Amino acid sequence: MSVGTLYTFAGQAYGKRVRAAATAAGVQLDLPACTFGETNKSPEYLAKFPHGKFPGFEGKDGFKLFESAAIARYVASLSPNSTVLGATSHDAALVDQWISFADNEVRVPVSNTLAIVRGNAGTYVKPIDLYWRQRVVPALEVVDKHLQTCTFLVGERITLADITLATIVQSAFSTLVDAPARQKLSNLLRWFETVVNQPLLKDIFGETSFVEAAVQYQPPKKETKEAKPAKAATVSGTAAAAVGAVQSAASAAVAAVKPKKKKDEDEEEDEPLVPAEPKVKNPLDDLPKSSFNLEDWKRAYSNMDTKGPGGAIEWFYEHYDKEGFSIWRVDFKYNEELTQVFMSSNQIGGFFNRLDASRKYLFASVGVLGSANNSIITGVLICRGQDFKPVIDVAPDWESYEYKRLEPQANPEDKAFFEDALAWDLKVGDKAWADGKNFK
Amino acid sequence: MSVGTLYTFSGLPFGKRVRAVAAAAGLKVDEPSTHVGESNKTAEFIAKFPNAKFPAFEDPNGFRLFESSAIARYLASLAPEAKLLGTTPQETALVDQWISFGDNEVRVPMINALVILRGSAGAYSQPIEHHWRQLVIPHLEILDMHLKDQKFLVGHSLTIADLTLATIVQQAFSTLVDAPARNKLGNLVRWYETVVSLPPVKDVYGETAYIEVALQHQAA
Repeated sequence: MSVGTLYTFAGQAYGKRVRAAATAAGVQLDLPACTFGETNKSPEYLAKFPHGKFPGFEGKDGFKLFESAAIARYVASLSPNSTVLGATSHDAALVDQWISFADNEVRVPVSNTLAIVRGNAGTYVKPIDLYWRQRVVPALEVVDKHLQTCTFLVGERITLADITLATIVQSAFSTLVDAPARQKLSNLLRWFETVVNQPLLKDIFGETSFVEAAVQYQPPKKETKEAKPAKAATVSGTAAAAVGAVQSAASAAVAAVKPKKKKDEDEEEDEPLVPAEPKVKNPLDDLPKSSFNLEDWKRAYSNMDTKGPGGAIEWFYEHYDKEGFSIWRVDFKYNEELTQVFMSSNQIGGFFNRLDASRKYLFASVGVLGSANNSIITGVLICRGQDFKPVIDVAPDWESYEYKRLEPQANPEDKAFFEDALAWDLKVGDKAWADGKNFK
Repeated sequence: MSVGTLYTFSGLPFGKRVRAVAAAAGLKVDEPSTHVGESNKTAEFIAKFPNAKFPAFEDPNGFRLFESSAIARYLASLAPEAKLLGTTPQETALVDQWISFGDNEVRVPMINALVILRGSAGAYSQPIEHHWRQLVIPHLEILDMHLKDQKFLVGHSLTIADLTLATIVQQAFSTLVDAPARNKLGNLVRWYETVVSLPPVKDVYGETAYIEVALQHQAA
């Protein structure tokens, strides 16, 4: 008799800890097949779990829970005779201790490092990679030392502490903790093999792909060109070097980032065990054919003067199809965070990198207006379809911006804003266009 | 009668969550004076607490514990009448859920951003700082929404979820979540001010240095 339903996707480390906890406690869970990026974005799932993350648990009585540590403990507690949570109150506290240590001292540095190495944290910066990477093995050494004289982390039997740490160590052993490092963690390795090969848990943990050499950052083979570097070149000294470093790192990140990577995936520890993403058809391709050709527009914008007779804006109004496309104003929500203009400009570049999957559906002209510590990021988007969201939410940080529909052909204020943003001479209040980027 | 010794240093948010729970549970805990970077690196300390970090706890019988959330829960379990762990197994699960959410979804991104912003991570990178920084407020918004019709996070009374999250939110309100941002988190602010003003724990939280303008990276 199942106690409820666990929503997780195959290979999710967080899901494994719950499934193993339930199995070790002798508690049964229903496990419907779920697809990352689809099931957790469906209206049914969001109605139960509004922030759309895996895993989610729903008890037979409708009780809902998220956060894998909470779910694991709760399902284990439903079995009154189980010692999975510790046989005494002291053991229970020690189980908590090792679970907390596993999450805070091992999982977080591993996850942070992988986010940076894989280009999911905006850009690659080696010292920051090292800052977190170098914490992983010392934390595992603490555990290794403890396991010199213990078979399991707490008491004489497997507990939720072993299960939790094993899912984290499995991820570490297949990414950052390579063959030479594992050789020096012999107690940990022995313990790991014991836990993941427990007969009841073997299938949940599955095979571990022990990494031979720790995962490193892969710079791309081709350099992508950065648009309009002229303004940055006027910044002197170390700032220019920093810009160069960030720009080339940003280009590197463009190639290194898989277009559909969302921030949730890293936090859900699915690499490298998640199956290859299925090729989902983009619903924007199913829209009725439009007479406005976005690629022709991008060429017109690049080759013609923007304003004036015979210019790109004139071309635009002659060819635009407002049934097939829509125009939006975009504003960064946290302008109070912005400091140096070149940094804010790089932020726009980063946002554009993450919109790459929507290249066929989007044109943008976005700028930094104002000056250091007194600026805003704003601009315009031309999107396929009548809604910005399917075009823009491929970027994990899309919610850091606000979007407002513009009707330049009907509304004079919208027209002025749109045209000035295209021409890079937009002014909002006392803030004039300082630097910008185009997505084309 | 003291239930044990807590090794921490004043101002450490992890230590605060333990001290707040002890205070709310009506438990007396000894706190010797400590110096981070010194006392937690001595041979004696490491022999007792192999992770070499604060906070750490030892009871009069030599039972030892590290990791603040484990210590906090253990202390709460010593005072069941205070009901700080929820009144039913499901409430207890929700207490765990919110603590886990607070740590994973608010504290970790906030600390990651602060480490980079302050130059502690070896180099500064605005995109990487931003990658984590932008996660903080959206997750506080989830808490804010939850607190719309609730006085406390779980059930109808104070639990260690409130006490734990209040330490995280205190740090957020004094670093990255400034006056304009707080204006949009009305329920969260109301809940926070309620929790940190409760008589048993008021002195543990102390004054909150609400930041007016969120911290930014200071170029050298």
